[in-house]
Amino acid sequence: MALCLTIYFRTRDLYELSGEKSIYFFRWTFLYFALAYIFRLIPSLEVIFRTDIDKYFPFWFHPFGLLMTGFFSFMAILSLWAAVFSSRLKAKNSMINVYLLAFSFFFSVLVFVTNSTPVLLILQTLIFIGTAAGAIIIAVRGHKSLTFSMINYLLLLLAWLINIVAFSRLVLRHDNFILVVGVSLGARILLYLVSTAIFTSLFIRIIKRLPVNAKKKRTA
Amino acid sequence: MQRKRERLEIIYNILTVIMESRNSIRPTPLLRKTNLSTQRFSEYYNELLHKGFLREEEDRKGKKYISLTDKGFKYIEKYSYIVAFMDEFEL
Repeated sequence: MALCLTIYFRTRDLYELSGEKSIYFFRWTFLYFALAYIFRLIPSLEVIFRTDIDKYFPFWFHPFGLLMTGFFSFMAILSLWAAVFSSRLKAKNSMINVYLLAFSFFFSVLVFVTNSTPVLLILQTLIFIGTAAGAIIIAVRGHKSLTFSMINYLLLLLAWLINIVAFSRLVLRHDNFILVVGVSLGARILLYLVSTAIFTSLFIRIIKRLPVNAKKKRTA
Repeated sequence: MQRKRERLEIIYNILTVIMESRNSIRPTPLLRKTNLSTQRFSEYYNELLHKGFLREEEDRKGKKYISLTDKGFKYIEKYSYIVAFMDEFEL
């Protein structure tokens, strides 16, 4: 969350000076991820501390939190799409934002109505597979291998999906029988570390490229 | 990518020409030194003026001069980082 917010605020200058569409959506990707993580945090506390936090929050909080997590994570993923493919998008930033909002709203309402994290996971996994397939097709057509940045972006999406898996529980109910499927604590910690490592590596790459740090490196 | 780079480079060239003219130049010599068509020049010029990279000043005789604002100087200073950042992340 902190890494995402830092990226958003520290790239402000780059956007204000360049006015580039790609940098605009690139920055917003990280702000949306930060917001998604905020809403993801509360259900995660439930899983981490193994306590039923629902008793501390009103009944509508869980579906609302899921709606917000879904909305902001869809916005983040779609903004990353817009950033990478901005040269092919002729519309203005405001118009692209309208499309992103509409798609994200539609998908997040779907998650909200079903009140199910697995639905969120399935939808975002489909987007991830679509993105990966698209990137590979573009690379094959251009007789090139996948670029380092593209691999990084795919890893970023993967990190988010890992995060959802790590802190999700699937509750199956049938008559009086309830089955809760979840990841074990050890695996959860491992998944969390993998997801954090991916975010951190991208964060370091971005921060290194920002003017203040690049200058320090040059003068050192 | 090429088009984006070109746009950023043109802006950099316009701003550099002004800076190298002791931060004060008339519109016509600026147009000539940037090697742009009149139409393209006025598009960029209006954009830079609107975004606060340039300011117009008049002397006692009412002649118009163009100079850089702080933001304009900042762009020149950070241009290479912006381009490097966009290259690095394929933006």
